[in-house]
Amino acid sequence: MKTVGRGKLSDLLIRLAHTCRKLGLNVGTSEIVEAERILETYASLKGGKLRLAEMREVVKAVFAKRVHEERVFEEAWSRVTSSNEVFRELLDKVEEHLRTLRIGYGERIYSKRALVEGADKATRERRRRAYRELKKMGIIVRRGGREVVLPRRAAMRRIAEISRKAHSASEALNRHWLSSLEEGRTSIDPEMLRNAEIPDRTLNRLGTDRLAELGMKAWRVGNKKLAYRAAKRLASLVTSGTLPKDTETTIQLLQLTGTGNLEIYLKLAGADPAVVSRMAKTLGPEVLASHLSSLDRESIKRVLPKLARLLSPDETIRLVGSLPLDTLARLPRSALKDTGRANEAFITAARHVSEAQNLALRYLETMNEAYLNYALHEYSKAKEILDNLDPRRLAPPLRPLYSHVRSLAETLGRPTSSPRDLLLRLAPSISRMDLHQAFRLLSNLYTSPDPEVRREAYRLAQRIWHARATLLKSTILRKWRKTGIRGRVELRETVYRMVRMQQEPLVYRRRRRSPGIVLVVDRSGSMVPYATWAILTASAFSRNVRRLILFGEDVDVIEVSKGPRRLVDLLLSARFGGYTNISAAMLEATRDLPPATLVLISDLKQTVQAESPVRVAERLIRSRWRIVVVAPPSRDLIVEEALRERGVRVEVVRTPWETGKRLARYLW
Amino acid sequence: MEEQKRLAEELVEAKQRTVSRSEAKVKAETILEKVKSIYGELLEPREPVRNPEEMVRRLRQDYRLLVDRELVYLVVAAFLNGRPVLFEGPPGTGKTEVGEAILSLWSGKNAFVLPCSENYDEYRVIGDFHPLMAMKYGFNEESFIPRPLLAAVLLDAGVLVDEIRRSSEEFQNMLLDIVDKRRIIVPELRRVFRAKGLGFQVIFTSNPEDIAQNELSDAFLRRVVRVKFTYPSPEREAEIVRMRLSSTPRLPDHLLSTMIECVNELRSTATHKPGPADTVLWAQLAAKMAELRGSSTVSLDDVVSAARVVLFKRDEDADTVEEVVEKFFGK
Ligand SMILES: Nc1ncnc2c1ncn2[C@@H]1O[C@H](COP(=O)(O)OP(=O)(O)OP(=O)(O)O)[C@@H](O)[C@H]1O
Ligand SMILES: [Mg+2]
Repeated sequence: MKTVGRGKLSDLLIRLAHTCRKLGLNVGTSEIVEAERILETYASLKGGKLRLAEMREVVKAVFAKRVHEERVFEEAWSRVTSSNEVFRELLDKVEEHLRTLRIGYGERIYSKRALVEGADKATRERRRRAYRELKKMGIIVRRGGREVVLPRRAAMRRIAEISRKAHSASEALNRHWLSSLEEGRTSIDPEMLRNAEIPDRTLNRLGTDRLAELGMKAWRVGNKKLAYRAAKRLASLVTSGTLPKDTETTIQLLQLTGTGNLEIYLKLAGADPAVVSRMAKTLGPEVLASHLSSLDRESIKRVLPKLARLLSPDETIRLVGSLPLDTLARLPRSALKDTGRANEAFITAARHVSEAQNLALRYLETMNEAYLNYALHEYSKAKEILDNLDPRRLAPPLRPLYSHVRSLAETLGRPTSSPRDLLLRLAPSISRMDLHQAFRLLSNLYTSPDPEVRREAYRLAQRIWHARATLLKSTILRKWRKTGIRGRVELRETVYRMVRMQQEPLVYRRRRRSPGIVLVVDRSGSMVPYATWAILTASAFSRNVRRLILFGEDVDVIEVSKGPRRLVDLLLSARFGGYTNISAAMLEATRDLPPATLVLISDLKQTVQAESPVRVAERLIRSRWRIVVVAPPSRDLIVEEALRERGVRVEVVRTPWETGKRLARYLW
Repeated sequence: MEEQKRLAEELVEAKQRTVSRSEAKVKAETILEKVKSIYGELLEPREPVRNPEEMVRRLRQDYRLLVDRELVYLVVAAFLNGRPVLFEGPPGTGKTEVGEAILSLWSGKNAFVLPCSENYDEYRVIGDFHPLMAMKYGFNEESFIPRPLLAAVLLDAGVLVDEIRRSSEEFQNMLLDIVDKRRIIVPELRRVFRAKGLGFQVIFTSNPEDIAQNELSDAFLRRVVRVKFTYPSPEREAEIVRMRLSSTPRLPDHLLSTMIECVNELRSTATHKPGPADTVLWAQLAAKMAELRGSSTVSLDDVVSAARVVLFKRDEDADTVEEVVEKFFGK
C-alpha cells in the first residue's frame, strides 16, 4: 500500500497541477490550496495516512469538474506518480528483448527469419515473442522498405512516451496497443486477442471493417466475449446505416454470434449484392423479397438482379408489385420468363414507361433533343404493349400498378407544345421524389437555357418546399401540446409598478419557449440529403433559428428571417462538395452571441488543416454553449467519441427525413 | 371614476409607506419566528451525525441507502472546509436521495430540497413579499414571506439543490455567493442573515446527460467539490435491490441476477438508460404482481410483465428493450 507523507503533499499537488495545465486543464492556485485542505481534513477524519488511490479520488474531485477533465487528470496523475518506475521497467524489457534477438539499437534487420531462428523450439518461441513485442512498441520499425531497430535516442523517447500513459509496464504496453488499434496502425494479431481487455471506449472508435476483423479473430482464438461485444457494436453501427466494405466478414461474425437480424442483413445485401445468394440460402429468398421495398432505391437496384433469379414466378410478381417503378429497369428479362404472357408484357411496358420518364427529365435538363426522341421511342413501345393488354388478365398484385403506369404513359404521350409544358406534366412525379433528389434535379433545370423552364423549376421548387415544410411542421406540432399565449401574472413586479404608479402595471411572466438555436450545416458532398432536410426544417421554424451557417471550406452566414423564398434560392444555387472546415464554422456561428444551443449537422469529417473541432467544442462548452451534433450513419467515429466525452450530444440519424425530426426537437 | 380615484390615493399612501419602511417598528425576531412557525414543524430536530463511519451505518440502517465510505468521507471533508458539493451522475443512481439523507444526518434536521427549474429566482428561494400586504404595509418584515433557503440559513439546516443544470446562470451565481459567504442579504429589508452553525450545507445534483439542460459555468464548477456517481457493480446492485425489497414474496437469486444483467445491457444500448432506481422499481413491481397472484415466490412471468411497465420509457427504445428482454428471459 502506497502512502504519501505530509511534507511531500504540497509538492505533489503543485507538480500535478503543473502537469494538468500542460495537458490543457487549467488548475488554479486556489484549487491547489483547497485540495490540500480537503485532503488534510479527509486524512484526519480517517485518523492517519491516505492510500494513494484514495488521494487520487479526493484531488480529482477538486481538480476535474467535467467528464473529459477526469481523463486529463488521470493522465497527469499517472505521469506524476509513476512514470519513472514504468520507464525503467519498460527499458529493462526492451533491452532484454534486444539481447534475446542478438541485435542492438540502430541496427538493420536483414532477414526476419534469421533473427527468430534458434536451436530449439523454446528459443525460437522466445525470439518470436521478443520480436513481436518490440514491433508492438514501435522499437522495431519499417524504414525505406527495411526493418530497423530505432537508434538509442529515439528508442528512449519512444519508451518515455509509452511509459507516460500508465501505472505499470504491462498497462503501458496495453494502452499503447489499444491506441494503435484505434488508429489502425497495426494489423490485428490474433494472439493478442486471446485474453485482451478492450474497453468500450476503444471499440467505439473502431470502424465497421476493423470491428469485423477484430471480432472474427477474437472468435477464432476463443475469446467469445470479445467477439460478441465487437459484433454487438458492429450490429448497432450497421443498423444506424454505417456499412462495411468487407461484407463477407461482417456477415460471418454476425451469424456466428447471433447478433444479426433481418434489417441488418438486408442493409448489408443492399450494400454488397455479392452476398445476396448466400443470404437467400439462410433466410430464404422470399423473406428477402418481401422486405426489399424497405431499402432505399439505389440498394434495391443493386439487389434486384441477383435476387430475382432466385424467386419463383409468383414471388417475382409479388415483388414487382411492391417496388417503385424506376427500379424495375433492373429486373432481368429472364426473371419474367414464366410469369405468364400478360404479366410479362405489362412489366416490360412498365419498364419502358419508367425509362421514358427518366429520359424526358434528362431532356429538360440538357435541352438535348436526342433525349426527347429516345423518350418518345420508349413511350411508343410501352403504348403498343398497353394497347393490346387486357388488364383483367394481370395477376392481382400487379393491378394497382396498372392504372399508375397507364396514366403516366398518357401524360408522356400527349404531344408537347413546349419544354415548360412537359415539365408541368412531370411535376407530380418530381414531387414524389426524395427531397434532395427533387432538388438536385430542379437545380439542374434551374440552369437550363430555356427561361420558361427555369421559371417553372423555381416555382415547382417552392411548391415542393412549402408542401414538405407544412407536412413536417404539422407532424411535429401534433406532438407538442400548445402552451398558452400569455403566462400567469408576475405578482411582484406588478405590485412594484402599481406602487410606483406606472401606466401599465400588469406584468406577465415570460412564456417559456425555445430560446432559439444556432444551426450549422455541413455542405460536403455526402451531406447533401441531410443538409437539405436541415435547411427545410430551419425554414419551417425560422423564428427559432438565430443564425444559420452553411459551410464548406468557407463559411456563409444566412439570414433565415428573410423567409423560405431565400432558402429555396439558396438550395437551387448552393454548391455542395469541396473541403470542410468544421472548426471555423462553429467559431463563426457563435461569434458575438451569448451562450445558447448550437446544432451541427455534419459527418464530422474535417478535411482542412485547422484547429480540431473537438478543441473548439470543448472551448464552447466551457463558455456554456450546449452542443448537439446530428450525424449521418457514415461519420468520423473517433471525433464522435471524443465529442461525446466532452459532453456533446451526438444523435445519429438513419435517414435524411429523420434529420428534420431530430432538429425540430431543438427548435420548438 | 370614484373607484379609480380611491385606488390612486391608496397607491400614493402605499408608496409613502415604502419610502419610510425603515422606520417600521417590527422586531428583528419576527422573521425568525415566522420561519419557525412555517418550517419548524417539518424539521423534526434530532442529534446531528457527523462521524463518517456512523453516517455510513445510519444511511444503511435508517435510510436503506448503500453508500461508499470514501464518498461520505469526501463529503464530510468538504463540509468541514465550507465547500458545497456537486453530485454528478446518470439518472437513478441515488443522487437526490443520498444527498438529502446525508444533509439530514449532518445537520440533525430534515433537509430542504429545492427542485430547480428554469424560472427559479431568488424570490422563490429566499423570500417574497405578499402582494396585498405589501400594498397595505409596504415592503417590510410584515409583508415578507421567507422561503426555504433563508429558512435553512436561519434554522441551521441542509439544502439539496436538485438538478442544478435546469436553473439559470444568475441563479447559480446567487446560490454560490450565499454558500461561500454563509449569509443572505435581503436589500428590500436592509438586512443580512447569517448562518450560525455548521448545519447549513449545500449539495447540488446534476445529470450531465439530460437533454433539456445547460452546461455549468467554469466559475460555478471551480467552487464546488465534484463527487461522481456511477452505476453500481452487479453485486452491489443486487444488494441495493434486496435492501429495498420486503422478504415476501421471495425473489429468487437467479432471477435477480438476470434482471441486473439485463439492465446493464440496456445501459450500453438504449438511449434511456435504466438506473438502479429502475431496477428497484422493477423488482418491487414484480413482487407486487406475485403477491396479487397470491404466490409466495416471484416467477419469471411476473418479472417479464413488470419489465414491460418499467423499462419502456421511450418510443425509440421500444425495439431495443423488447430484444434485450427477450434475450435474457426468452419471452
Ligand atoms: N446506493 C443506493 N442505495 C439504495 N438505493 C439506491 C441506491 N442508488 C439508487 N437507489 C435507488 O434509486 C432511488 C433513488 O433515486 P434518485 O431519485 O435519488 O436518483 P437520482 O440519481 O437523483 O436520479 P435523477 O437523476 O433521475 O434525479 C432510490 O429510491 C433507490 O430505490
Ligand atoms: Mg434526482
